[in-house]
Amino acid sequence: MSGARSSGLLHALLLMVLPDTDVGRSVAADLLEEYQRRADASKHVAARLWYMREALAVVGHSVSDRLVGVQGPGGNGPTRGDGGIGRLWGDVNIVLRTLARAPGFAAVSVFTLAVGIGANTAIFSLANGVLLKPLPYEEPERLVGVWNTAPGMNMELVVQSPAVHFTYVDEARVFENVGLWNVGTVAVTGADEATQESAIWVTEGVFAALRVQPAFGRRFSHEDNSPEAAPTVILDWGYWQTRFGGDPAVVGQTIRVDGVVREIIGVMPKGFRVRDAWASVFLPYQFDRSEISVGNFSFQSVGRLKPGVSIDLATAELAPLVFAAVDKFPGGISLGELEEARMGPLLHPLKEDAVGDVGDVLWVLLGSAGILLLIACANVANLSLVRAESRSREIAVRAALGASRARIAGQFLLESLSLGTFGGLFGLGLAHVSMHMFVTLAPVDLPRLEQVGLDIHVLAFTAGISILTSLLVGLLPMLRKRGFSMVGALKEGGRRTGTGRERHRVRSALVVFQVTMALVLLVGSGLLIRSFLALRDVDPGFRNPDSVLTLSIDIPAAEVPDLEEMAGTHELIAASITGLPGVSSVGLTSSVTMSFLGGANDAIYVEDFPVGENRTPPLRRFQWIGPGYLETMQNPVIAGRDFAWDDVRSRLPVAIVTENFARENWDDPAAALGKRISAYRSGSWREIVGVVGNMRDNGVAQDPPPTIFWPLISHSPWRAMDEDVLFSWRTMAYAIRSERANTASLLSDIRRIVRNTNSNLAVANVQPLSSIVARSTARTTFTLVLVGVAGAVALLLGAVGVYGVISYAVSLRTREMGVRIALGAQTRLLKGMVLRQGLVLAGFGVLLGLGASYVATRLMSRLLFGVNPADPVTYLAVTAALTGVALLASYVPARRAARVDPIEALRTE
Amino acid sequence: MTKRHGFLGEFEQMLLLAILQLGTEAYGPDVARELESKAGRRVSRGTLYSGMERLQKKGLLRWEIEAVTSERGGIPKRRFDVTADGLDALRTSQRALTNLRAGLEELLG
Repeated sequence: MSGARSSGLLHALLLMVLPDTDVGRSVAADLLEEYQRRADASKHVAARLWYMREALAVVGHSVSDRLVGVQGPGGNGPTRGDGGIGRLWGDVNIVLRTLARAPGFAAVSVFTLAVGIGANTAIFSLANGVLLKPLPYEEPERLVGVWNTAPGMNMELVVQSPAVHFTYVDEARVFENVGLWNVGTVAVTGADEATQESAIWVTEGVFAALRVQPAFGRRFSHEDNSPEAAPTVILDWGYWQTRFGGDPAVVGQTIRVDGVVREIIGVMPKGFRVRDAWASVFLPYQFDRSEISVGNFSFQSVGRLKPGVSIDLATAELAPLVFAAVDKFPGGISLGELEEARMGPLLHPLKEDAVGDVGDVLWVLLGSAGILLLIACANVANLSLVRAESRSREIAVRAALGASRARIAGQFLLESLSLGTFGGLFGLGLAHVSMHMFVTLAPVDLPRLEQVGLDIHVLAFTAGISILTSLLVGLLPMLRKRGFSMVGALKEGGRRTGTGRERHRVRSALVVFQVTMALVLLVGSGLLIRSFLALRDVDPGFRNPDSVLTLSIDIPAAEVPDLEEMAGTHELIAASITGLPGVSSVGLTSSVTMSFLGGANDAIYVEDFPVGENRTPPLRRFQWIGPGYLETMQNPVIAGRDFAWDDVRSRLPVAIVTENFARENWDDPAAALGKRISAYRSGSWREIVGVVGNMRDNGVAQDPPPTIFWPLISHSPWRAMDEDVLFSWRTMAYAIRSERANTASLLSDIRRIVRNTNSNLAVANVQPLSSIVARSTARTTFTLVLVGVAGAVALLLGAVGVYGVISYAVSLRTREMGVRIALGAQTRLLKGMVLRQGLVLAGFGVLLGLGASYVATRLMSRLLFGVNPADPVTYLAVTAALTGVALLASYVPARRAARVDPIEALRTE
Repeated sequence: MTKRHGFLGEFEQMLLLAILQLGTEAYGPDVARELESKAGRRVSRGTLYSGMERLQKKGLLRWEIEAVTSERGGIPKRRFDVTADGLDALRTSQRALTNLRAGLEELLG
């Protein structure tokens, strides 16, 4: 029901507030039904407004009925009239009426609190979805990501090798189940055009460890994972819906995956993910154990620990098995090399792997939202103080008429509770709206985003901070109430004197606090802006990304078995695209810079600098590129030359390296030319023919990895040259530089070329190079936008605070000003006096704020790039800006002070 | 046993009358629509359901939870009905009004 979805928040709220009975549910359903009826009459906006109004009214009635003891809609509460509750109702009534008589105060307070509470609710729901919610598996706390660590090679985190994995499967006693998995893409061919689909390969242990069963059909058995088994496939729920229209008869049918006909044996349940990875199809790994050796560390692994087994215990149990794998699966890395690398198992709670380092961002955001809420509280407390001031007579009268001190205090608390409640409700609305914005804005690398939403935890959080806020706001005027003198208040005749000044000090302290907190937020935003600018200035290695389109094409072995013919097909497609109008050049690569689609990391041996026995040189990034790739990306060739088609066709043993690799070894890029490197210990030497500028392949904010480029197709770098084994990637990324880069017509021309070349090939991963860059900075941008908004609101609230206090101070001193003017004081000096007062407040706030920022920004240092957390420029700029705003906020009351009419001011005496 | 209900408020009377008008079709949304179309009185759902609860507490009204139709996603419906006491109270209030109106027909039209 679309109504249920579009008004889901209010519906959820209703179900929470209404009792969980048939009656309660029927009330909520009645509303939805009527909403649906109105929406169907094609008055969507009106229907929505109607629903909002009505649902809130039901919530309001239900809450107030329960408060005063009348049975709320659908409930069985006590009846009205019990003494205590009846009196409470009376007080609520008084409070609501009092607030209604001060609509300006009520509106400003509620709005301020709503902004604070809303921001916190929205950020909390984000953090809740991403960080706090448990993974959606049974007993998720026993799930672990299985990794290795190799401190001897300076590698903290190494993925899994099949040899080690199968040793675990056979011999480890700590796992209930353990499995290997990985993600990739496949071409699925059916009746219509071939499509490129995401795929996850798994061993049988993965689904078993996650304890997940297909929605129907069966999961992969031990047999499905054996090398001689008939090919099978399991579909993702969403893919099954779109591709097969949700037809349950699909089990038993076949589809062609990468040219192989596979039987569909099941459909995974809706929303299923392996950790944070999602795919259209799931395929069984079919390892041949006789061909495995220790090495090929390139698989993800997940395991479920047996009950009562801790990660520490499991790690200790597994440590000897890593070495045992060498005996069990000989022929790969030697025992000596493993020992040299100090290879050992490393287990992470699976959720840690799923969430990654995104916690940094969310904690900073939560912190910012919290600060914002504190500022909002200070603002409202300030307003309440002014109100308490003006109501001192009313209270004295009530006290004189016999109201107990407790009851009066209670009423103040009730008032701030009402403000907090309304603020919370509106805040919830604000959060609901802004959360949609967050989720659209959030970087693609923010995991578990689908988990974000309003749930019971978020609502409880909102209720909690609303109450806390109310207490905070209500506490201050109540503190002042303690020293309250009834006689004094009545005698003063409402004129503000001594007590007023005392309260004024409290208010000044609140403003100083506001300025302090605002400064912290602004310094945070300032540092993020500087990071953003620094990121924008980073040279990614390529130039003019706006006119480059990237995509990838996979040619599976089932389509074109021969490797040379396969590479030839890529070359042919690239040549055809180059011929398209408006295309200036096309480059082929295993992975476009920063796209993380392919390539490899491996050790590289340098002929000039031999390493000792059992030692492995540092790992380097490997990429495979065709001639013209560097030109297309406009990567500058610093020394030597680019590959030529001749190099590729005659399989010349050549390589290109990046500048940092050349400098590391030979100091001078030009000196690298003619030197030889190899990925193979026993020598498979390639001559360096070119040195190219560094490329930030790990993202804009990361250092460029030293990279080796091999020709598109060449002798395998991992085999001896005389073995004559060719190597090439079947999935190639295409970089296309064209004035039509971001037009649909170019893409359809390319699709036509691919289809005409081989109708079973699919175009995938289409994205402009500029969006690859944007994605790389998305996290900083996202944090910047949110902290920036918080900073702007804080600045505004701070200015309002300063204005309020100074202007109030001026009103207290109207008489004094009048006397001064009457005695001939210059208006310029009077203005200066008031401005000075504002400056002193701001000055205290700024001083405290600088100290607080210095501490607070340390916590966000990992989000910063190219800027020190104690960056003096940012601190100075923010201080200047904040002081300027404070001056501006004091200027208005200062002008008023200078214009006091002495006669008018003295007459009120 | 006789119960004293006092007189019904205007809104309470309207609610009971609307339910009687609807006969066996008196579900929440229909009552709201009936009030709006016949009496020109727009009430929020909060007020409506609160009023119903109050009348039910007084024993003037009862409801049945009605079995489920699939279009509502399996959620039950409440059908309202005026009790004999409710009818009595309505009569008393109406009679009082009629008595008070007597002789004023020309003025009230």
